[in-house]
Amino acid sequence: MTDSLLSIKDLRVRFRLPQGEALAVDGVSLDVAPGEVLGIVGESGSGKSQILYAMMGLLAANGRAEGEVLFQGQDLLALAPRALDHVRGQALSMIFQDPMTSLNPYMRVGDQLAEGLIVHKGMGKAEARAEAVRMLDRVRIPDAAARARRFPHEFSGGMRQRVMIAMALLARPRLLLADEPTTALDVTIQAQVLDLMAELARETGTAIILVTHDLGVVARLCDRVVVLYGGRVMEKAPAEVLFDAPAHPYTRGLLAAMPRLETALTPRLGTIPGTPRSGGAARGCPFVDRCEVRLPICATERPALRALGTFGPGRRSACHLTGAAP
Amino acid sequence: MTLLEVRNLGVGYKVAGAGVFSGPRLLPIVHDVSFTLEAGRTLGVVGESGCGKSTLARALLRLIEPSGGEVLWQGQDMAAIPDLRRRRSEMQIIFQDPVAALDPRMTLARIVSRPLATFEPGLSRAEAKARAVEALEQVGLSVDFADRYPHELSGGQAQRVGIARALVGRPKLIICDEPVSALDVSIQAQVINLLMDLQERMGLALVFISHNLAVVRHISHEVMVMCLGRVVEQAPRSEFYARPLHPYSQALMQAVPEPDPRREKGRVGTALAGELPSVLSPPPGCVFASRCPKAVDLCRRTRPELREVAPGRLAACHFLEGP
Repeated sequence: MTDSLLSIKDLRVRFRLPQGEALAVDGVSLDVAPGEVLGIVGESGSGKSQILYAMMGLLAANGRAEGEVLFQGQDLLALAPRALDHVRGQALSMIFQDPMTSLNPYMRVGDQLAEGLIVHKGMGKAEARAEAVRMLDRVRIPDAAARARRFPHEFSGGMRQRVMIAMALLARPRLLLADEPTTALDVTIQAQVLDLMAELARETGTAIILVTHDLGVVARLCDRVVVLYGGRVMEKAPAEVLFDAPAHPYTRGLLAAMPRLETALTPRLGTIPGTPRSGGAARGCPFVDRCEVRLPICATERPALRALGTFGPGRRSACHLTGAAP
Repeated sequence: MTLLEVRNLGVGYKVAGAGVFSGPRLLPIVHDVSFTLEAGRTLGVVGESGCGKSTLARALLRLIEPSGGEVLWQGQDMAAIPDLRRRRSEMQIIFQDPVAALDPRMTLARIVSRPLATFEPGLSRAEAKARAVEALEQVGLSVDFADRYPHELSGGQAQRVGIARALVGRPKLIICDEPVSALDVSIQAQVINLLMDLQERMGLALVFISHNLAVVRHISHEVMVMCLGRVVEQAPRSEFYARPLHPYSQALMQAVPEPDPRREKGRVGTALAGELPSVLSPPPGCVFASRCPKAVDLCRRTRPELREVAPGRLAACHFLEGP
């Protein structure tokens, strides 16, 4: 794709551990177009958050990323720390699951927001503060001017997450990375935050990568979806297609396991036997142990992420069975 | 057979008084909860954080002393049951964080058999261990788990151990306090199915507490929606999900993201504005008035009573007709 804002090629993330090396992300490639919302879905240990950390240069000290992360033509993995800092301040922002641990408890909220503008945009203090208040108002913090003088502990969980979003968007980034941004919130507050993200993405043209375990959240916000398991991409598709006609056995299993509000009740939920694996497999398909339709070949040969002819381009699945079926 | 009958249960916590010299006061957390639960049935309790659902769970077993009302266990007032500690073999609880609920220094067999020391002190060690192994097998963990330690378990396996420990005393009722919230989707489904299988096999009654309306729909026969310590709606499952009556129930239902992009994309922008009032200073009127799209002055001033608005359906709203 030539028009992509972000293009990740064959990303691998490894961690050195006392008992050897762990491969958390195992050859992931993906693209994000300007203004697009991409969802990365997976269970614990799938490596979904590590993709974001690798992009931001935030891997733990024993972690190492290989491959290519081309963002606006620059390989983020090859940048010197100062140059990466520049990109992170200007064009790339991230929000995390727990807003409380991402905010400085000793600093007034308005000052925390203004800091980034002063450092990265060279604004004066007063100007930066005024801009911070405008942004707080924009994310619907009531009485923003007064709230800006308060400390993080004086905010509710939902408000803190909106402050994080305000902070991330202040620099008008081209791409926002969101790591489980609503997982810690109540459903009604989650709905507010998701609405806000959808609205801001539409208005500012900011692209979003949303990492989540919740397929419902993906359905509300995302244009395209990548399903991750054991550090590898299992399936990639436009959101409507993925939910209408999931191709990979893992995606089908996940969807069947979700209790729903509107479909007919079944006596029992669908299940995937076993527990999610952590990290990549040495050989074969990472999902093979839990797959109910596996073939002998699945244990020995890794299925390639192949384009499926049906439902148009952009739909891929990594399974020996898909494509072969009628 | 009615196992549990709850009448106007209230629970409060002691907090510091308003002034420097005033003594502690009782802050009410749960108000006026009533329901009955039969063997083999599940009551789902839904609400957001701070609505009092976990406090209710603990008060039902008298792990917290209620401040008002009555809990009858098989017709007998719980407050008057002699040696309640031993009778608790019949009513057990499982928790949200399955790993934190297990002692890291004990083998699983010891963890699971430990309640028997209280419930059936006459059992020999070998008998207790045999019962633990039996309970582990009931939750799908083979005998070779008996000598393992909690750190060797995944979250889903740890929750199974929690369920095994609840089962070892052969209970009639299990209170499940957000038992699947911390689990991965595929594991959540396994645990929900397990609870439903156990209920079918043993005639267990369940009180299933969750913030997730979709999970509650799947497992419950009856649903109770709580908001800020009060029940705002109570109804049989199918009627409730076909047509929630209280505006708060409707808002909760709207807010749940379903795995269906066509439905979801159409709902962007419908989220409720505002936040829940603090438990420390509950509003004088309806608990939902500050966020309710239909609220009028009356709602902010006067609290609507929970009343029967259709046969078998209770709701607390000024704008619902009676039957």
